[in-house]
Amino acid sequence: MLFQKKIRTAYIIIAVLMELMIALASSVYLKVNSISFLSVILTALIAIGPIVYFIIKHRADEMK
Amino acid sequence: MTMLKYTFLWMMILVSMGFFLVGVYKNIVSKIAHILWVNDPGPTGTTGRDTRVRLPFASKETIFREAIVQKRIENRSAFLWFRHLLIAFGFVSLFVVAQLYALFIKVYPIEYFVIGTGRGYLKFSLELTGLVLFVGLTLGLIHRIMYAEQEKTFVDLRLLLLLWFVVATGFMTEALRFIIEPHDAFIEYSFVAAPVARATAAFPWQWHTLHTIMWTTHAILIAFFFACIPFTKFVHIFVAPFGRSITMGQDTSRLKREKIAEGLL
Repeated sequence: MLFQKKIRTAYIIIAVLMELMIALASSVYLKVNSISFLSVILTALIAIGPIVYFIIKHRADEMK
Repeated sequence: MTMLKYTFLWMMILVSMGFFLVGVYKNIVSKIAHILWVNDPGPTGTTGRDTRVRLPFASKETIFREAIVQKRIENRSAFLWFRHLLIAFGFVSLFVVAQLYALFIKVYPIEYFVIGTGRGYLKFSLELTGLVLFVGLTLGLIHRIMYAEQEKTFVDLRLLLLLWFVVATGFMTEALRFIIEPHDAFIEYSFVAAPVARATAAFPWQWHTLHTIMWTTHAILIAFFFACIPFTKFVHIFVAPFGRSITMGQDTSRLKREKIAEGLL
């Protein structure tokens, strides 16, 4: 299970970083000190939960 | 209003990316991992790679054959090959130009691209690549409808329609923007949206409302399209060269023959 765990961990890190980076990139379009930017950051944080949960729960040998 | 639109857009991008990441893990990463690393039930609990299976690092030849020349489609028919080339190259180049547009105008603003001629060239490139994609999709739709019985296993009509509407709403959003902003400094570079805008501007419609509705529809469709990619046939965008790299390994065909031979004995 070692390699599968490594792949899973690496993927979780990449997925979390991507969500956070996209949320931070929105600062180009939205004012940082605003409700809009806060909403986007909160959306990213809320989205990270189900993503991580699914990846942890998904069996690597599950083909369907 | 603009701030609200962008907040909505970024929130949707994040939700869409969430589905995309989950789908990529479920349908690409974990499957490739399962093919490559077979569980070892030994006491150490470690996993060993099945060395008989090739790693799915697409070779240059496979990428060239599957992603650029698209040999398998060429073998089916010249029309289908031409249609797919328009869609594939239109989509990839539109995506690249859209990223460059955001990069040079918003993320790292460069004067030449923000207020200079560079912006016009980017706008022209967006319209040209969008048009190539639109023509390819329209040809694909017509062919899929005409040859519904033969094509239904190869082409998902709903997905084709989804991408067609993404591009169509993109052009319509730009045309509606030109109606409400007729003095846009770069309007002459838009050789599709600007003529449409000029032809329809005379109608006494609520152009501001229509533009907001069209912009929102376009944004929702794009987000839905990206969320769909790993769960539908669109997944071939990423995995076609990888899948062929696994199945086209010399060892794989030899092992397959051995397995069949064993069954015969």
